[in-house]
Amino acid sequence: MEFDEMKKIWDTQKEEYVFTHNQSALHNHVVVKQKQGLHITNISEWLMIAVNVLVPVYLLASMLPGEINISFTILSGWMLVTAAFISNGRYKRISGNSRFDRTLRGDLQFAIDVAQYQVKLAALGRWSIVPIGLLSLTALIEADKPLWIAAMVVVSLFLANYAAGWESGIYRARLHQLEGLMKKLDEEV
Amino acid sequence: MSEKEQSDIFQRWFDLHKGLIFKIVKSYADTALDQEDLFQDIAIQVWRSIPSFRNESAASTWIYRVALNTAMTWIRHEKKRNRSERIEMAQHVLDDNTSVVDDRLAWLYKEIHQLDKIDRSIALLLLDELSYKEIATILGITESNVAVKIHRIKKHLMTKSRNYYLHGI
Repeated sequence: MEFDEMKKIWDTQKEEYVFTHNQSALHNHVVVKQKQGLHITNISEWLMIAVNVLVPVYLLASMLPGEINISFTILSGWMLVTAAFISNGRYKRISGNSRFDRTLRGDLQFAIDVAQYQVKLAALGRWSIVPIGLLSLTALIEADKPLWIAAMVVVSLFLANYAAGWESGIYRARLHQLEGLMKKLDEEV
Repeated sequence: MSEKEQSDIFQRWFDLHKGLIFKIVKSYADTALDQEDLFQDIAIQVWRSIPSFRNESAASTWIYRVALNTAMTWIRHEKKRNRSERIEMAQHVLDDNTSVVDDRLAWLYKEIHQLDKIDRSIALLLLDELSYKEIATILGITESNVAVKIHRIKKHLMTKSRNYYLHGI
């Protein structure tokens, strides 16, 4: 076979090359996405709650015998409030899970709901780095720590913010994909 | 760029160029589950790449570049995964209409699939009639390198096609 002939064969698919969705497999696919989303969200929530509880507990405990550092105290308060906020969000999320039926559309809406929550949680994690960073810096200055420690904190926070932005982008893209799928389903009806 | 603008561009790109994404997916992933997985990865990367697109090349060239890079990265990671487990789970999430169209097309995909990842990209781009210059730009290699590889790929495919006609393999 000459290459030109291969090209002709290749070109035959141009007009009719489409993938069509098989409904039951699509449903399974949505359920898998939904479970993955729930699993990741669950881990993210527990990690964020643990960090926002353990760090302030450590900071407050380490300050107890000596002088009180105002910035660390505010930071601890901020983190504990964040932990409470995430716990409340988690409670609301779990109690709202039963709203969705087990149809393709219901499961897809559930997956979208989880993805939207993931996006918000990632944004919270990303932007809480700013007040935490500022308070950590003022605490270090207050404690007369060397400048290089502050510089390292700034670099670490910058990297953490970048990584969080990257993670947030993935969640937004997944949300967009699920919403696109719902739009397609709506168009088909 | 707002998220709405990004979504609108993505939708427009997807409607216009989904064919090329599907061809790449089919050339790099064999089972339906893998194809779905790769398709998602490509869709995500294309969506994320939109703010970086500067209109310095055609949208299709940009999509080819993003999709092929994603496919090559996907293949690297895919080799590390437990394939037997994934194949067991495989379901026809995407039903491919072309599989019944022409045996020769199935053969062509099979042969493309057996090329190494760079040659596979070149074969796809060549079959989609991109110029040597465009192929070189997309893959980040020189035009002369593209020419050498194309000569080798054509020769290889034509030799294989003789076996196909003689022995049906």
